[in-house]
Amino acid sequence: MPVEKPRVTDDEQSRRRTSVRRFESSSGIPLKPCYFPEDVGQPADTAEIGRPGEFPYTRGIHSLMYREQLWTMRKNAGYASPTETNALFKMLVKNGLTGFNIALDLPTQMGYDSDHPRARGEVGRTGVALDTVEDLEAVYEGISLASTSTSSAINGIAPIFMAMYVVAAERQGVQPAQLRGTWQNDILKEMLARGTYLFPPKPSIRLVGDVIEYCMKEAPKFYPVSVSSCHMVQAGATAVQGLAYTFLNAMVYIDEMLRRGYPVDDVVPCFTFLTQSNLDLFETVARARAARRVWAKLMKDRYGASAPRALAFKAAMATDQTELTIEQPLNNLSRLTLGTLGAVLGGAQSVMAAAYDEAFDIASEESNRLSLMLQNIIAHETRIPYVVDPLAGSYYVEALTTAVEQEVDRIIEEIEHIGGMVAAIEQGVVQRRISGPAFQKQQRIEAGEEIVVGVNKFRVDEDRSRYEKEVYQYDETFEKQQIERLQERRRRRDDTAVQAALDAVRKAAEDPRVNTIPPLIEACRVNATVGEMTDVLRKVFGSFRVPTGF
Amino acid sequence: MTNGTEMTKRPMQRIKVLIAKVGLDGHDRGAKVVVHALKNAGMEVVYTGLHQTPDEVARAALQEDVDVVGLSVLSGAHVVLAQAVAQELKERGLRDVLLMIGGTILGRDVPALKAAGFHGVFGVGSTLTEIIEFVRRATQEPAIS
Repeated sequence: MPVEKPRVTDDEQSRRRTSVRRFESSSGIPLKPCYFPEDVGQPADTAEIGRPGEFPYTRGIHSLMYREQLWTMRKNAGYASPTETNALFKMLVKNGLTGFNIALDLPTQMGYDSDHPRARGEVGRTGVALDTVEDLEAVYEGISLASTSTSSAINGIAPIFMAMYVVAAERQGVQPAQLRGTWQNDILKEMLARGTYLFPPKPSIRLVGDVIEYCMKEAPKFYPVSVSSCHMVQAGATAVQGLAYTFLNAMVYIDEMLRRGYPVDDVVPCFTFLTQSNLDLFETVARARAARRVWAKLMKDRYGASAPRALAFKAAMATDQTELTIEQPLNNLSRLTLGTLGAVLGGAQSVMAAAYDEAFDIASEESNRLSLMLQNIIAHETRIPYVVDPLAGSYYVEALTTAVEQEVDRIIEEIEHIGGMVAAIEQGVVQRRISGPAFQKQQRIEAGEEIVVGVNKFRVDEDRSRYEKEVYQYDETFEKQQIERLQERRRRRDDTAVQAALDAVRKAAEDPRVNTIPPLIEACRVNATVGEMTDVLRKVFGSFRVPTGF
Repeated sequence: MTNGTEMTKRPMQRIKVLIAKVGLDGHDRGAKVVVHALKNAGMEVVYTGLHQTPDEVARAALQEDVDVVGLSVLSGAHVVLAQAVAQELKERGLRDVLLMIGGTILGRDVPALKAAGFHGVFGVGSTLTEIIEFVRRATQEPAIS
């Protein structure tokens, strides 16, 4: 049975629908939507491989895939000020972007206001600075939240960001039920890599659950969680390890929702995933196929799920930034094209290609645009989207798919044997398994055992200063400006209302049976700041330091 | 424990290094790879973990009595944070600790970092060999080959 897809607006539908009427090769040979062993006179595939749109979804979660609808093209983007980010978003949409991925600065992600001492030097550096809902409103000035889909690598403050997004939409006259997008909200992964966790595991997992529960009830078109392997891989895990850890993390969140009494077939369709595509093209495809099979079996056999939307592994894929080099940076366009190709051949629902200059700093407008154009070229010029799961049936790909599946199953079993993911994190086990391979890879590169073009082979003398001038130029006065705006807002709001709203957040946080999102929405309505809301949660939940693994 | 007022040279002892993640950046692949590499090269290495303030880094440097402090910053806040760490170290009398920094550092920021006392600046593309050599040479430890 094909998976029911969330409804999209006409606007986005038209952007993602392929305009092709006749599906044929460049020489005019008619092409079927999908090929099977019978097409070459071979006996039918095993149930393990199956058919696209059917359990175990090895060949894809939709029967027609990109013939019906192209993947969502995203680009992680955000400049320091909301106004600059708004202009960047509008430019990206003109160039084929079909889903925003908003990059936030670190003070926002860590729940500090721009004038907090820990924010010094960091405001607006890695993305847009959001102190109150007014900043988020400015990001979407002239962009309707009813007809866009936003994703974000937001984790530690995901409940607060959810509330801000709801209130920003409300001020546009848009209801939560109309909102579409995907939050990362994957806190265990943050404990293993990337580091934007705020609280100990137990309240952290509860907050993940609060966001999921809120979306299930109020914003059913919104995906409240995107369990991600990318950052673990960037931190050094192999892509297969990353995949196994992703499933382990996802199961912790599913267990939290089952504990709250929700049926598995209602919970699991809320889950999306973000996995890594890298230069190992065939393993990327094999991983994408194996991931769908592992997930379908886990959900069916272990959780007793039966709804197709629960069994189908919905994945965004992102290119691997650690493969980008500062040497001969235009070479990165070739790397990103191959990474994107792997994601498309693997049947991803959404693809995010990095920009070629990201090894330097925040990407320039031009490099952001190029990263969309390479997606557009694959989508519109190569005819790859005409046929579902085109690499199926290759002895190599099928064998590799099975090998990946077996290795993922083995790692899952191994971590469960030591008490599951939370215990493994607390013991530093997974941290050690991630940092070891990173060191070994660097050693292999320095020894010339692993070739990186332009780095340890085919080096050239080059002046890279021009790329430094082309990347996004951060305005050194921005921090001061943002602090002034924030302090002005604090002066003109109703402090009594803010205090009352924050008290309500505290009360909700203190009672694990209460969902924190509704009181956070109230706090956002009266323009409480991200830092104020986070401080309330910090007081209730305390802090936590993940063992480094050394 | 030295009082830090004279250059700490330990030709016969192991070099002690503090690798610190200062600021809000949580990407520590690079920091951990450097920790592994310096340990492999025979040095004693302490890793702070994530999200240290400049004050916490300086306190750890004092408590651990290190010869070298290496910062890792990938958030773009490296100049402000490096200057703050240098200041905190000075205020604790740790004037002779060797300072180095790694991360996503553009060439144009190198002069400001050197002026703040960071003589080793290791941007993207730096090798572990370069970092180990820098530490050995600067602490005047004879190379072990």
